[in-house]
Amino acid sequence: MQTQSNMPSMASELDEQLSAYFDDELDEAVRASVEAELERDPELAARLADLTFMRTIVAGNLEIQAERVPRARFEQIWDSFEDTLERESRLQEAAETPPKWWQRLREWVRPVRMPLAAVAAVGALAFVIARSVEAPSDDADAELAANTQEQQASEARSEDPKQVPEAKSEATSNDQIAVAPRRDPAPDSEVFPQPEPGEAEIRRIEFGGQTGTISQVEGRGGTTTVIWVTEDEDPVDSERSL
Amino acid sequence: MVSTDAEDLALVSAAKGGDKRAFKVLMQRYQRKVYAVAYGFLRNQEDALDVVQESFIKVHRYIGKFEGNSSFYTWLYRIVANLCIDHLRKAKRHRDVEFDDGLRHDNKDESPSDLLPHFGQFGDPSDMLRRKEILAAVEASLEHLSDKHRAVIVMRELQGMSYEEMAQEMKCSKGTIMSRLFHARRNMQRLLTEQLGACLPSQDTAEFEEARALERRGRHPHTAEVVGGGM
Repeated sequence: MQTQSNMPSMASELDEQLSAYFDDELDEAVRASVEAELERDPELAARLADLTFMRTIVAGNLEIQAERVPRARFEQIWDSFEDTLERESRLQEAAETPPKWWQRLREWVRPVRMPLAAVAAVGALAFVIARSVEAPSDDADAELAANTQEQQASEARSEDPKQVPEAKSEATSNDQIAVAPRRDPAPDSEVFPQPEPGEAEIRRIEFGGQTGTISQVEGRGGTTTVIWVTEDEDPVDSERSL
Repeated sequence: MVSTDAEDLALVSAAKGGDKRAFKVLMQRYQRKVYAVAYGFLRNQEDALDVVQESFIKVHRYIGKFEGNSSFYTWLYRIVANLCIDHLRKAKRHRDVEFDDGLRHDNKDESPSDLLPHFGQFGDPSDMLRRKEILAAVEASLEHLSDKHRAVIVMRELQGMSYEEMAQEMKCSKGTIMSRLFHARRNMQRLLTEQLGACLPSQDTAEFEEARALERRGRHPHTAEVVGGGM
């Protein structure tokens, strides 16, 4: 049984060696054994002839297929090849041409372009802020703000002379919100209670029977004055009961 | 008389020096052989012509690196084989199939070699190639091989590449190439037998079948033993 099962694999191995023998790819020892087998077995010699037949007919067929291609097709391919070479040559020349002075400058600046832009932006912003802080107040605006901001500025001057410009700029920037023109008719003090000098004018507050607080914050940067009103919360039930 | 190799080397030398005419002569000398290889791999005329052009470009680009350690055509054929394998891999990738498609005709459909009829009875293969139906039969046989089997057959039978060179191209061992080529040849023999048998006139076919039967009965003593022993 062992002989039966091994026979096909042995035949297959010999066939594989025969194929390599045909290609002259066997080492000396195996080649000698195959040659001995070829002399002994005409069937094996016939299989070797089959390999020769196949090589001839396969290679011959492909060569004939190549002969059938018209010469003009190869000429077209050659033209296309030359076009490709020419295109590549032009690209190479362009790559090798020395750059213009402005191109070199641009390349030189490239690594610091973004940092420079950032510095320029910061510089421009600082300039605008400085201008807004140092700019003299308009006379009319100063006059309009006299009843509030000048008084505040004079108070600030007495405490810290350096804060004077800030106070003036506050007057210019906040006059539309917090400052009422002096030439407006005086409000009814009963209906519109007057704030103390230096404070914002309160036009109208209605708490609807509730109580509340008026708060104010003045910025030191010369730009901000915030006034807000908060109503007191209703007392909780437990407080009411008390 | 100057040998082909010597002429090639002279042309290569001139082309390296920038002689465009020498380069053209060199490539025209091999363009049909390059096409034959590419067509063997790819089975499509336009794809094969594309490979011819790509091989021109590659040779032009790298001819400066050709040192003459092998013949020019050996160097050229390796470039062409490489281009063809790349082409097949790309095509297979588009179809979501690996290049190493071993499913078709690779092992399970093979007949044992000792059951295949011999070609000797067909006569001289060079004479047979003059017949259109024989060419068509060979074409059909090549068409039915898997890409992998067709590649090794073309590289060996047409290009004459060594197992070592084929192993490098196919990124596998020499042993794998030896085994693959053996199975590819056996499949090709089976396919050719079918196709050529169909091409033969009826009288020839009868003789062919008779010879085939005789071979099976009388010329394969060890096969008979195996069958008898099995019973």
